[in-house]
Amino acid sequence: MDIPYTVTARPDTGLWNAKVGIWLFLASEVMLFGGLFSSYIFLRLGADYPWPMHELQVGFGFVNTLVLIASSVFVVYAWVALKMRNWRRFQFWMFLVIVSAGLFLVNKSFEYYNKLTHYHAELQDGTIIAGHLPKENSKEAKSIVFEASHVSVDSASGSHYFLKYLENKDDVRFVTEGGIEVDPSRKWFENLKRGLKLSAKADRLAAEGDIAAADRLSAAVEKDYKILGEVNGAGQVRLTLSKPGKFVVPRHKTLSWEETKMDFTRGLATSLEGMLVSASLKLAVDELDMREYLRRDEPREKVISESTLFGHFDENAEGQQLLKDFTDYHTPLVAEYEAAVAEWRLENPGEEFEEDTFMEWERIKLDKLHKILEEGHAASGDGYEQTAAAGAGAGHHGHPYVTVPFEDVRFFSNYGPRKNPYNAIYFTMTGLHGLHVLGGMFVLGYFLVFGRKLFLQNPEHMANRVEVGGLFWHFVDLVWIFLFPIFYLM
Amino acid sequence: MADTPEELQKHLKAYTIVGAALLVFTVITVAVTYVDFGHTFANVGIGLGIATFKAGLVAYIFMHLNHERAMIYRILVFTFFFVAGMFLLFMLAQADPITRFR
Repeated sequence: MDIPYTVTARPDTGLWNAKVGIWLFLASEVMLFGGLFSSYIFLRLGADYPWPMHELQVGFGFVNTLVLIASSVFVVYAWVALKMRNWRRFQFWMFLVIVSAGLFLVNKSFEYYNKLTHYHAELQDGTIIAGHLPKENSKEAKSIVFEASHVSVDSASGSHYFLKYLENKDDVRFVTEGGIEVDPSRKWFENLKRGLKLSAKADRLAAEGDIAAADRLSAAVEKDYKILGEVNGAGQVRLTLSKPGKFVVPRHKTLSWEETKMDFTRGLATSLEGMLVSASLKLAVDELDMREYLRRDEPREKVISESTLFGHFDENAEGQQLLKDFTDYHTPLVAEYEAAVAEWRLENPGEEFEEDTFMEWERIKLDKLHKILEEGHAASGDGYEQTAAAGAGAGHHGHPYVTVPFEDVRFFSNYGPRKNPYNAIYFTMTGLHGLHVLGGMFVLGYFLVFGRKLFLQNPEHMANRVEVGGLFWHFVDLVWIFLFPIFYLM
Repeated sequence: MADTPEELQKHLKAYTIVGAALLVFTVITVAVTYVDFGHTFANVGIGLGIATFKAGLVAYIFMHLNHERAMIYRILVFTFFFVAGMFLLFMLAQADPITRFR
């Protein structure tokens, strides 16, 4: 089929068709990104925490902005080269466009990786810790480790999903209460549920008075679904493990844990019996924020000695020294805050004080707290990095380890979308933008590799294709021009 | 439309200048965020102002909106209208005028 008006203008629009098409597509793209930009504003105005400023590494975003702008210039150069019927020059500039796009994505992937491997924990007492997991046993450092002798799965809502968290799956055999060895696979649970359904149907028939049909069905179920006999009075299937099963479960997949028992979340409807091995978070700390904690209206010595963190820094002098330095740094900040609040109260007599009023103040202070660890030690001139690295408990990049029981942790997450709405909208928008870069890279790469034939047949048509691809590319650049300041700078 | 070699050369020059201007403005965007203009709205407003100017340059020069047919502008007017409407809806949700002025 011949597509009309690829080069000449259509009389009614005055344009070749693809031009109208790409602009209509870009209009829909404006709506797509417009919705996300609106969400950004909405989330930011409604945020109940100081909006992160300069939390991302500006250098990454800055370089990526330059790369995208340069690639936009290269695209128009490539288009002009085609207009001048110079294939070689077109190839040269288009190649640079593809390289720039690749560079952008590589840069972005480093950023994502850094975010997803950086962790954030809020303790019950308000202390905020940021840091990295230890290199060895990193999975166990953020999980609950439990050695199970028995697994109980709810027959109606449970499933085989618990197997995902069983480390020594291949060495363990499962035996039911009736002494039958089973493989608690997906199929097994599906079969169990089918049996339950039929047996419920038999009960319904009996209730409706159709005794004969109910009996027939019951007999059939009893014959075909012997498995139902394994469901105990609590509606659970309780399996005994041939040897202790080592479960490593992320905290957010658990409901509760004790010395001898652990419950998965309701969705998994599974509980374990056995022995709790460990339920604590181990992080190599690189940032601390103790303002909320230190604001407590109690003598400072008492406050510090009762701090969760103080009790949990590994027995290492650097950790203790670090904590002391932090409290020394934070105490004046808290005093400054209290003074600002007192001043506000004087100026606004009778009005009710709202923490929100001081969000701005908080925000500025939070900026100052970034990278505080390095700064604090640079200021005190004790060469922290070296001393900590020499210490016995030195962790990631020489940062001290802290091990905190999960019951003292209020919230724990990596710097992924789960952390807060800022991170969520950051990943949504930059992720979607990244996909656009990838898409543009494919389209423009296709022109570069396979465009020669069309160029020889109809060079103007080829130039128009590149113009249309270029328009998309400029749009992607244009979106980034907004994304960069709103996420990295302000 | 730019078809003669001379005009294309002129375009190339314009593209280079605009590209350089965009790079310069990117540096300015980063620099001004380290200056406090007194209020969040001022800081954000100035940052967005520069970004809008940069986006305008891209649209006007790179995307050839300085010499396009009427059809394209018509599409854009509609786009602007609808996107502004969408922002307004979000703002209304934020301002919550229904329960606030009940």
